Amino acid sequence: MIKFENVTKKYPNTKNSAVNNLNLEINEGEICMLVGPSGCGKTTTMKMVNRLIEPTSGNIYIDGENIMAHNPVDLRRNIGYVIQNIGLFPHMTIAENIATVPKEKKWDKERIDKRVDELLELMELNPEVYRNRRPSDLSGGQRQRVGVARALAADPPVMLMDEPFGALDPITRSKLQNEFLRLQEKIRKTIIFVTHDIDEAIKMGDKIVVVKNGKIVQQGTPDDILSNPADEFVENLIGGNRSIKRLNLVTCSEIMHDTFSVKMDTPLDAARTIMLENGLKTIALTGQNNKLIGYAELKDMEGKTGMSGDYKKEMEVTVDERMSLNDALSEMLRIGQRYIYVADERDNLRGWIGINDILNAVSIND
Amino acid sequence: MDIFNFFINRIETIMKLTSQHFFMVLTAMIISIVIGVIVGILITYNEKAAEVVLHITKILMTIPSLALFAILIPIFRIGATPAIIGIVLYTQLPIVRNVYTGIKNINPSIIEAARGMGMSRFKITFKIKLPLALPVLIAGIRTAVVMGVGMGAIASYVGAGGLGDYVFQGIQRTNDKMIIIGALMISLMAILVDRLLSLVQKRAEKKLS
Repeated sequence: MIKFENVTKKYPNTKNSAVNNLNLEINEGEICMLVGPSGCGKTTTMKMVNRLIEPTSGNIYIDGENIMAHNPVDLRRNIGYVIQNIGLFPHMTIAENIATVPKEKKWDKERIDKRVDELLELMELNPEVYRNRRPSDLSGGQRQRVGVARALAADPPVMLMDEPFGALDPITRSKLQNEFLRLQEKIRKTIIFVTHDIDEAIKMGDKIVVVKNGKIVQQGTPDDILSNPADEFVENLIGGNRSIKRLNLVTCSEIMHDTFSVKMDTPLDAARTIMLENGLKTIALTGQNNKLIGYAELKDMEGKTGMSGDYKKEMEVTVDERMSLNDALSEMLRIGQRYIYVADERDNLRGWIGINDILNAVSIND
Repeated sequence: MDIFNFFINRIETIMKLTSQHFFMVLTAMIISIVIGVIVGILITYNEKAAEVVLHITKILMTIPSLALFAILIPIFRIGATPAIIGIVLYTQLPIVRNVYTGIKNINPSIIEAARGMGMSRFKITFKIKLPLALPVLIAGIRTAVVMGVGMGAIASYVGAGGLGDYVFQGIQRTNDKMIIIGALMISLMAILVDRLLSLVQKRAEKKLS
């Protein structure tokens, strides 16, 4: 989808090239993380794709077409662009901000309005509330959501993201990262994502490209990078705690077990039988469509009769099946429990994870 | 009370001079703003040019206004023309400088986002840079207008008419009433226009906050 061929960028009056003979291929629908220390050339590499920076030599192709064959303005209208400081236009409303590229592309008003509302909803911002607000009325997280919506407005196949979540506090950042990954499952854009945060790279990337002094030091899946760092530089970049970092690589759905559950109106006897046969101390209670409602404990049921739902306890915490083991583990530690139920985005019960599963999943045999 | 009667009796002349003064300054300001905004925008693209241009406008303002008018007379003769040209030259500094700093102080990520999304240079200038620099530009225009109204009085010397006529005639005839009325009308004009523009400036600022 995107291909760099012997790309070099040398700024005037500097001794070394910012980007030095770089070759890279990025597949369609992939998030490619460019990671490295400040000044390593990762941002320059990214900005050459939409010609905010022109390469000194070499070629860049999008979908087989050389980007130099396009007028930069047209090229940029078909590439989404999100930057760290967001760069929302303070004198325009949220709707006007999002409509920037569609307006440049001369869409009619009706189509633009529809698209703006659609995107605001996608970003979980109520259009009625936010459409006519100004950027200064929004929190940092909301602004960055609008920034992403604005980049997606004309549905470009390619997106460039320059540390988009870098200026946010850790909690908001993690939330937006998860939201964005969920979104990406639907929209499947080809994304170049620049970051200096290796944890973010591991979490977000389908592919990680480690850059140093304008050259690629290593590229591969997050798993490759964590398991086989190419040299000391990559090793230092990853830092210690490689096992803990691997927690970010695995999602809950990959290691969860099927779980036993009973309906709210299942007779207690039947529930107790299932639990005794399978050696369970607790069992999940579900309602319609397998929706998770709560759980019941065996000790409450001894010698009782009635419906399982009569002994319902509130489920305090579940994790989303797409969240990483890191999220699951921190929830477990927070509530002091050795297991946690996993649900999908509509709260339907999907399974459970125990603390031992997490240990098994990340212990590396090295 | 004397001065009040004097004012009533001569109201026609005073009003004629006031409107002459006002339209002379207005014409000069319109020309000055158009030139100043264009020059101010252009020099944001070139640091060297900006330095030179800002320096020239600074020099223009340090020339005593009377001397500036005097230089213009051999070229443009006497009348409103040298007066208007003099005011335009004299008021370039606050306008050019404020357009320049107003644009230069825009958060660069806003401009980068606009470029990155494929807005043309023309659109960025008129849809992004100018609206964002507007409050600073208006502040510059306020300074320029107040200067322009004051210069309009001196322009009486080059035969441009206006309230300056009243003041200078008053001085020649040692007529205190003429001097005071002329000076008051000039001050009033400067203050009113300044107040009005300050309201416009506040509205522009509010839109951006």
